[in-house]
Amino acid sequence: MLKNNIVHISTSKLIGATILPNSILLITGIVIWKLWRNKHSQLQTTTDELKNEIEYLKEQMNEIQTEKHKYLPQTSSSGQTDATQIGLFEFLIEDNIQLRKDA
Amino acid sequence: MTTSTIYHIGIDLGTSQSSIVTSTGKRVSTKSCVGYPKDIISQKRLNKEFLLGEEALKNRLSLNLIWPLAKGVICDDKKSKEATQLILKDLIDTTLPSINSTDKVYASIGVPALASVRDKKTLLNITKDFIDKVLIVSEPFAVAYGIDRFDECLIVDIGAGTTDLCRMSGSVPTEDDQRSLIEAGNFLDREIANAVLKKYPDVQLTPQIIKFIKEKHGYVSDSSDPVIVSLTKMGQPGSYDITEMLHESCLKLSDAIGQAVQSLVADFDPDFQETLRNNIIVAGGGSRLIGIDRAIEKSLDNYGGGKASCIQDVEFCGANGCLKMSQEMPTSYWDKI
Repeated sequence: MLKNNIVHISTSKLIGATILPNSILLITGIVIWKLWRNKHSQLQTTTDELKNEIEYLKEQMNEIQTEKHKYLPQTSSSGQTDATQIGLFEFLIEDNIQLRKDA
Repeated sequence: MTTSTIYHIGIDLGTSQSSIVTSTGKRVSTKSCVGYPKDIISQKRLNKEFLLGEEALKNRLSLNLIWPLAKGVICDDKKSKEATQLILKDLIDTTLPSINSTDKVYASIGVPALASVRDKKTLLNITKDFIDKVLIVSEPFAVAYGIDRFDECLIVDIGAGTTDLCRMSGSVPTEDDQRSLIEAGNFLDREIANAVLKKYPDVQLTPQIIKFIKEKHGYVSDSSDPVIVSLTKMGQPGSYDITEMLHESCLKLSDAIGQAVQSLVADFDPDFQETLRNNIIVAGGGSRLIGIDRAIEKSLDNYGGGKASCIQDVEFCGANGCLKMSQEMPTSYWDKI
């Protein structure tokens, strides 16, 4: 009976010394992996959302540029008098007329 | 009775990239290249007589690729003129698809600052069949016009074929106010290629690889992270450190630009030199070079310093200015040409 007890106790101790710590390690590993996976998927979701935002902003920029160009003929150029512009256009036209005459 | 519409367009016809902006609000930019199928197999595979822009580049192994512009102007051969026509027609067709036969197209097209009369006439000749009226303007001047800068400022337009500088002083710029340098994007590509091959003679380089390296890593600032690129040698990829040689090549470009800026400041009215120095606007694809604004400022250290800023809408700033000019010019002036 004593022998059985010794075997019983030894076996229990062996199991306790090997399986239990390994179980703890395994469970810890699983928990860490799950945390990392959650974090990774959160980061991925955030990255995707940011990418979508960037695309949306790009579309808006294009729309703004389109509207700006449609609006352009209705506005007058700031910081320049009509006389100055006329002078400028006269010069440009003269230069282009001369170009055609030299043909 | 159908009424005809006048469509205004601004075109920046560049050596590497061409852009169009229209009065309908459309804007498109494309590579200035045309590819023709090399043989009957390519023709059959592609099922087109020619390809343009990015599509041509993508299929370049099956094509004879033509870049019809050099130093900002159309090359003097029949193929280049035809290719330029195709590029321009495609830009117009893409942005004005619903144009009627009774509608008119008035275009303002930017050319390098010191383009010759011959170059300008070539442009007029090739566009006469599909653009009703064409106004040829200086490209850097168009940039200034687009951002309403007619006061004392200096436009530096760094393109692929040429770098054009234009000194604005409240009136129409003369030839003395403008400079056109061959030190530009393509020059930089050559310098980078020569430098890389000098150190690593057996690596395989193509114009596209060089361009990619330049656009992604090109810098003239004093410091940078190491530039390690992946290149192949006899088909085997490897990592190559090109930090210093890239920097030295880029400095050759910025130094040439700095010298041109200095000369334009030096012979300006001394009462207004300070204003000019502190209002330098950098445009064109080359304005994306990291630190180019600071490099230009540094070139003016002995002249009292300067302030340079890079324009935001790099791809379309020239075309925007051309369109604005086209739209704001009274019809009575258009009628004269």
